[in-house]
Amino acid sequence: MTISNGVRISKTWLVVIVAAVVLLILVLVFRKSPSKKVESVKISNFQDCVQAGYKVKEGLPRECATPDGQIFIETQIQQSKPAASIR
Amino acid sequence: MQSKFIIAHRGAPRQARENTLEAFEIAINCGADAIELDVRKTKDNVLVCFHNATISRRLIRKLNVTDLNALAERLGFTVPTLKEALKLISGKVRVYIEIKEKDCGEQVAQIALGILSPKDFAIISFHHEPLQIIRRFYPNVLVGMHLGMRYRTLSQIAVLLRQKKILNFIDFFLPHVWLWKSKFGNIIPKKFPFVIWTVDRPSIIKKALADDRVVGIITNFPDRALSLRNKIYAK
Repeated sequence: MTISNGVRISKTWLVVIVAAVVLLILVLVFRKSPSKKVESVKISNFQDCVQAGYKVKEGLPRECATPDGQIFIETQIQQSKPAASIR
Repeated sequence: MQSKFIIAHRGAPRQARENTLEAFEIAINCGADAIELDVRKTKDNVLVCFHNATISRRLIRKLNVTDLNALAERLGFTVPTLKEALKLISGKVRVYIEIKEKDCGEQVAQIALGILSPKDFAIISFHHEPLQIIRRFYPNVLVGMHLGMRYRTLSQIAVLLRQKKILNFIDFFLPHVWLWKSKFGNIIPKKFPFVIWTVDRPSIIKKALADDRVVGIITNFPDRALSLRNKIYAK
């Protein structure tokens, strides 16, 4: 292959150069993008656990379990309307 | 380790007459998470908070509520109705309502649902019949089965559970503390949590607080259990 000033470059070298340029671009892009922070929310009670989106097991008391095996129970009582008494 | 509910047995029976508004108020003020109370039906179909089947040797079932309270007054206390008790408790603590008789399950559920959110109470009993009815007609109400010491062996309990298909309609079990200390847990599938009764000794309270299967501890000494729980979870 011949480029404008008459220098001849083999096909293999062209592939190597293009790959190197692509690699360089990728490295630059990833270095500039902000690193994702791993959010470590400290869960210390039932409300935190629910807000973090973990599953609640209905019961008395209600329980919320974190993936690391911690279980929190709902001790706070919320003012809630009674259910309809009609079956 | 998870935290547990500390449940005041019949209110605070060491500080006031059990199952009275005064006892419930003391339990609320001491910081209990829930109250356990007993319910019976009078001759005129009023649900009252009372443990024993008799008062001054007369059956509660054969007394009108006014006669019942006349007898109670002579003994120095007033028997609250279930409605009065739940109105006092509502929005403050949760409640485990123990049905002492087989024929008042629906009535108890209706009254409780008229005052409380279904998240805030459970209906419990030694009798499976009212619990089965409640589960059928009020599926959002939590039901728990009491198991006492009349079952001498674990195989007797296993037979009861199988014959009455109890696992199909129960949310949790309330084994007597001695049953809990036996191998009781082995015959109940893991998905059923335990509320144990009546746990007063500090050493047993500590053991119960450490048991992952136990979600609630019914005690005559809620203040003692609360202070032990606070100490353990502060560590």
